[in-house]
Amino acid sequence: MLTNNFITTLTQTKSRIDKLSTQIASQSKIQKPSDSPSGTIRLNRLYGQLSQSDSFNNNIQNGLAFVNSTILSMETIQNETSQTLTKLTELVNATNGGDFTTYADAVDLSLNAILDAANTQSDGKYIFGGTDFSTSPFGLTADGSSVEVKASDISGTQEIKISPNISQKLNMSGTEVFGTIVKGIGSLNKDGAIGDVSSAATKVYDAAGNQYTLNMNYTKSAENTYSLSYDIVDGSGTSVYSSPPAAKELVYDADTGKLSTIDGSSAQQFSIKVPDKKIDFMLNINGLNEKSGASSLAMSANQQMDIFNTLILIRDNLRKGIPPTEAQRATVSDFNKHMLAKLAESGSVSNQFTDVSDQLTQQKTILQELVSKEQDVDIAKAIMEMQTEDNALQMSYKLSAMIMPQSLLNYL
Amino acid sequence: MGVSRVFDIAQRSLSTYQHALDITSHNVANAANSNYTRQTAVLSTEKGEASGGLVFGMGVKLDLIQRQRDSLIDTQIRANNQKYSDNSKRSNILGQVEQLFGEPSDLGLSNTLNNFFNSWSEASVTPNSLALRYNLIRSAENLSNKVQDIYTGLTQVKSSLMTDAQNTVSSINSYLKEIQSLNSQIFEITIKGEQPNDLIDQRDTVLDSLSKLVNVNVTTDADGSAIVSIGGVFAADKTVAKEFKLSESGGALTINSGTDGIALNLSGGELYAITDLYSKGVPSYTDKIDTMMNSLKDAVNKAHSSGYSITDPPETGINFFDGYSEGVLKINSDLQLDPSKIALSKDGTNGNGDIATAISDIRNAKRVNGATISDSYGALISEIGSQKQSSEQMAQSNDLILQQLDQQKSSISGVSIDEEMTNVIKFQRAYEASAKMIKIADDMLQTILNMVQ
Repeated sequence: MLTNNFITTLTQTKSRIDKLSTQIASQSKIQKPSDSPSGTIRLNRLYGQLSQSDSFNNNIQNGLAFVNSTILSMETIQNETSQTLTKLTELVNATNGGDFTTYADAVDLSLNAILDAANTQSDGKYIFGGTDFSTSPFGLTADGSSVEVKASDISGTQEIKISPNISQKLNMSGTEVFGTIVKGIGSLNKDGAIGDVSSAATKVYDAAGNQYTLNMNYTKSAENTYSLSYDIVDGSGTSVYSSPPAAKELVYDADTGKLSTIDGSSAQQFSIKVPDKKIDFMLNINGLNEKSGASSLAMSANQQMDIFNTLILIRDNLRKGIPPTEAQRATVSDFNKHMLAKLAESGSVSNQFTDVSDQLTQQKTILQELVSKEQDVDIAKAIMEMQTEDNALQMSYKLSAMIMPQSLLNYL
Repeated sequence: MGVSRVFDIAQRSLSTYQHALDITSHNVANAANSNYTRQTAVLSTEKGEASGGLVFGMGVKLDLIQRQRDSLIDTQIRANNQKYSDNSKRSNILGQVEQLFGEPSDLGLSNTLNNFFNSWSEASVTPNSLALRYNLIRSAENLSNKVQDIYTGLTQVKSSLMTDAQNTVSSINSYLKEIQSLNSQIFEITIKGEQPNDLIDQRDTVLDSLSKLVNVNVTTDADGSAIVSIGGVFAADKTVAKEFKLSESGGALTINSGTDGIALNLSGGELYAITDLYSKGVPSYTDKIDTMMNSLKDAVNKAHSSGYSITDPPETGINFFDGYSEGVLKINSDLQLDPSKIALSKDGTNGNGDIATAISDIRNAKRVNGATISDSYGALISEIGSQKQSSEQMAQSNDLILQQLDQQKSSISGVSIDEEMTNVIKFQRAYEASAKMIKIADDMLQTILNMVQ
């Protein structure tokens, strides 16, 4: 009986010493799930959060590099635009009127610099290429007379996850920065009869600055559904299309009255291109809603022509001795302001990335603290406990050595 | 009545105490035998003789060699043996199972799963990067390998449980034969009016061993034979020892009586732990892994097949995983060979990473019975950990009770050298005194003879 008690106690003490020494060596309280099932769950969750946090931080750092490249390119573009604007302002002064060739060369240099910046890559991605990185987004036409969009679509937006619930738009699409965007705003009559047609029109321009009219007809085809047909006609009323473009189906949300889909896609805009006429713009109808009451439609464009073709026109005119028009100066000035606004927007994205990165770093510190609390061994405490157990073990050996060999036999 | 009676009494006394010393000697010899039950010499007075209106005592006699055993403690020990063995075996097996998952560590499935989702998230930032696409394939391969490792490990555990079960059933059958044989020998000795103490000890040892393997019920009949039933089914007595057979049906193990096919209703012992974990425990773990991995495969494939590759022209409708079955999460081999076929783009442009983002978001989607895949996996790990912890604690608790019962048993049935030595002195002195009585009687007889001379 004495032997059994001794062995049991000894085994228990040794088992505790073994556990403590393993904890001290590994500095971890939880070696396996059965050490603390709930602790293991918490640890797995914390490790998961840490891992996800690291992943978001990586995304942010990659995103930040891309945004900084975007800012750098846009600063170049804005500087060149600003310099061009100064040159154009100088040309207003009659005393500078004689030397147009020098100005034309200066405009050409700026144009090339802007075109180069517009085709900048960062980490294999064209900064202003939307989501099409297969080819540089902008380039001269075959005859070298104008700049056209080479990529299939430069309006795509890249979004990255920077937290479980936040996706941040990363890029400035080519359309946003350089493109002409025609916006349709107002409302369509929700209570209108099937077959009712609402119309709107606005001026659009080709790369050479020639004016056209964009006519749009919204035909109600079903409840909350409209068929959008459009045409572009020149000054004589002749369509630029050999055959009418296919109509788009617009579906509105019955409750909110907001545009849900265009041809089944959630995109709120689509591109209109007439390559042989060098017409290229984006039609955005995000601001066109459906509500009760008479239809009220309006349209407006952010610019007449894109900056490239405006500068080409100015350069070519200067070479011909024709000074820039006030409208052309206004286009360059507007683009300069537009670039400043976009720079501010990118700066804001960069700041958000930095802020979220700081938050994630702070969150990581907190998570690491929680992991430490859950897992780390209090070494001092563990060593003290082990010392106590060791003392108990020694005492147990000593006592057993004194008592166990004794029996009545020793006294007979 | 004469001097000869003194001789008779003294001679009987010498014989009795010699036997008593034999018994004590047997006890001392078995002091270190844990299966031995202390025996005691039960002495009583010999029937007296009436003479002259008086009854004279005829000395001492050895009535019985008694085993010092408490059958209630035996029953309790067997009951606790069943619980202890069940929990201890369960704890050992679950210890092997939990090691397969390698949690919590960087090598666990949890971390591998996190890395898998992270690789999609990182690919979403630069979806046209081939390096990130290769990284994505590597992380998917790591996930696939880890799942397969766990699954293979669980299959091996199941396989070793089957071998364990076969060996255990074989041991049970062997024990039952031994019990039947001992019962038979005990019966033969008992009917002669003798005490087969050492045979009973042997049988008790076998019964104790049997109770560690399976839930056993033991009753003793009038002949001293132990009637053994296992899981509600008669197993052995003095004439019969049933042979049980192990069978597997529908992934479940059952033990049936070989002759009549009645299934044992197991509730304790190692065999219960083995069959329960084989039939229910391990399959439930693999089922949960299957559910998680099928859910992951379906979710990833659903998103991936709606996306576009960055090949020229872009391809769509491609599954990322070819399938999942029994621990094998098969990655589409076309994608492994050409990662540009991984469909990260939602609109067909090579810079769109919306599908990659959607797949990385699966991490936070509650897809498995209202929980995320990671949480569901965490619950499985916790379940295994809790079961192991609970079994371990129960085994420790049962062990404590067993130790107490063993102490009680030892205090009754164990041999105490001190006590035995005391008995030796007592019996030796009595023996010496009896011898002295013979000397005295001899002297008395000599005196009488001298009177005659």
